[in-house]
Amino acid sequence: MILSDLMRNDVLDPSGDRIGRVIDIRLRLEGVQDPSVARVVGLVVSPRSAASFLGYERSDLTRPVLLAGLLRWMHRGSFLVPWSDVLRIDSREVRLRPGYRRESAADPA
Amino acid sequence: MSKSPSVRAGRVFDARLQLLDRQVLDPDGMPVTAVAGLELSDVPWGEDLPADAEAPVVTALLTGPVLGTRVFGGRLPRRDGSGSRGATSGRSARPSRSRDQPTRTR
Amino acid sequence: MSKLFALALGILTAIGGFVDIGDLVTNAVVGSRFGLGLVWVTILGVVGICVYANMAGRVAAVSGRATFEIIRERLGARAGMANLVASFLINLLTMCAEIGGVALVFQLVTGISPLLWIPLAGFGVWIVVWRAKFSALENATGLLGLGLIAFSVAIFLLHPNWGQLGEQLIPRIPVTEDPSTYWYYAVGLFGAAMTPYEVFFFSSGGIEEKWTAKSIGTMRANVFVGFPLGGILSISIAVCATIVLLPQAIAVTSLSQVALPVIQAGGTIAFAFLVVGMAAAVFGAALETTLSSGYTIAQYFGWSWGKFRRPAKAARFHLVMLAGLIIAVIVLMTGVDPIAVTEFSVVFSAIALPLTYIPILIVSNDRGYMGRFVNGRVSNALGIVFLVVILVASIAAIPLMIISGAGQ
Repeated sequence: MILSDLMRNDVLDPSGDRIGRVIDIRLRLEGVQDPSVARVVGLVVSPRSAASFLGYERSDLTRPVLLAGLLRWMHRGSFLVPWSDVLRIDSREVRLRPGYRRESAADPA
Repeated sequence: MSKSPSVRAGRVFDARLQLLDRQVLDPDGMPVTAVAGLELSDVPWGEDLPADAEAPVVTALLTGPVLGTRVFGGRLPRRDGSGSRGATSGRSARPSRSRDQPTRTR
Repeated sequence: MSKLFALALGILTAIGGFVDIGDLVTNAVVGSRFGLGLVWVTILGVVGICVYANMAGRVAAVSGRATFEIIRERLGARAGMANLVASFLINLLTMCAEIGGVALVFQLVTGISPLLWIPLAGFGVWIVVWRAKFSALENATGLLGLGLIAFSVAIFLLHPNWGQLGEQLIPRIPVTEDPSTYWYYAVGLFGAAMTPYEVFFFSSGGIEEKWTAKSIGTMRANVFVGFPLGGILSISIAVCATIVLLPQAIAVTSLSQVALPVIQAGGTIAFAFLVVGMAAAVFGAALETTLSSGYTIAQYFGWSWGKFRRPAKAARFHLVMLAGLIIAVIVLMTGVDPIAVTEFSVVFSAIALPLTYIPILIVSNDRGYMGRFVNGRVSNALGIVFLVVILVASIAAIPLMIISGAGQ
């Protein structure tokens, strides 16, 4: 599987309703081995726009205020779905398990 | 060689935001390419994932033809007819460091 | 002392390197048709390029990232590629204009058709880009470009009626000209002052010269002293045209009209200075646009680039530049009028402005790249104001081109 197989895919809730699109994949470095392994934590889903945030998804980037406000507004409501709540993946869609969680998509770094 | 803080264990980062399209440097600091895609370990495709399945890991940084699919859409030919997609048609790179982002994979 | 010398050298280079064929032609055309009624646009453009060159220079110095590396990182592969294609083509158009400009300068001196000079100019640019040291090519063309001061001196030698000139500074559209033509040239002048290649070249040049956060002071002096003084040279061209060409209704169709006021004012000696200045300024700009064609593509694809590497270590970068030069020479050899190419290049530059300047504004606010060197409030306020101006110019350019019949 490559990243492009997941990016921009529609995300469906268990009943099959479209709730957004995959706009990013969150990874965590695991340090057990050397070199470390980057494992998928979950999918970042935006209910509105698949366009780029231009970096404004990160909480420490707030200026210029007008641009930051505009881009944040375009992506309001983005959330993170943990990998364990993903039921099925195919070329176009990602379906979530019943009782999936919506975690904060706020900047991890 | 000691690890840069940017690749310390436990660091959480977003693939598109912090890894994709970054400059890749060789150990001498010479530009090699830019990260065009990531290869992840395979998961069952188009069928239900087991509840206790391990999350995929990044197995390689990709460069080459995979860039075309990101620019123009579509996808690369499959490696085989089975469910999971391979990434062998993208050249994979194993740089030892990128300018500031974690790139050690595998 | 040597530090002071380096500072002075940098500023002088910035002044001499500021003017290119776009500024020469557009200012003369505008002066001959609108007098000084558009000088405000040049001033606006110079402030704009100062604001954004300062940001791009700071980003290059602090993060070590050049403009197109940032554009791909921020916009992603697809939007970044769209930006690359547009920026590269418009830069190629500017390259054609500059190489054609070199040929026009030689025509001015020798009287021999530019068609014979074009291949030679292209070859000269290639040899210098391939062989010469970065600092040598920048300093030589910048310092010799100071010969353009002949325009400023000529103003005084022409003994104009200063009161009348001063009155002309008030923006107004001449009764003989259509408003759309006035605004079309306003967009062109703005594009000429803020040409995107200046930023590609300035930020990549900073990396060529291994700037660090410590270089920010020098960089600022170059920008905030050098560029405005370069802008004065630019305005001097328009003033000369206003004094000599406007009253006689002489149209600018080649560089000889651009040079006419200087010859009239200072004779052979002034002309000699002028020719050296024009040749250096335009040849310098041809080098800068050629380098920019290599910078943009190599930075997008993550290839090694730069004059600080041996050509063998940056082969694709040099190949792109060679290919660009060959295309430019072929285009010019079809016999297109280099003056017309120049006029189109400045307007298309205006269209492309947001593509370059928006990513710079964003990244210069990003602590992840910039640490404590992020934009202050003044930079951001000016950045946003100019972003609006840039967007308006960019959106208005094509409609104005159509309505005014490209300034006819």
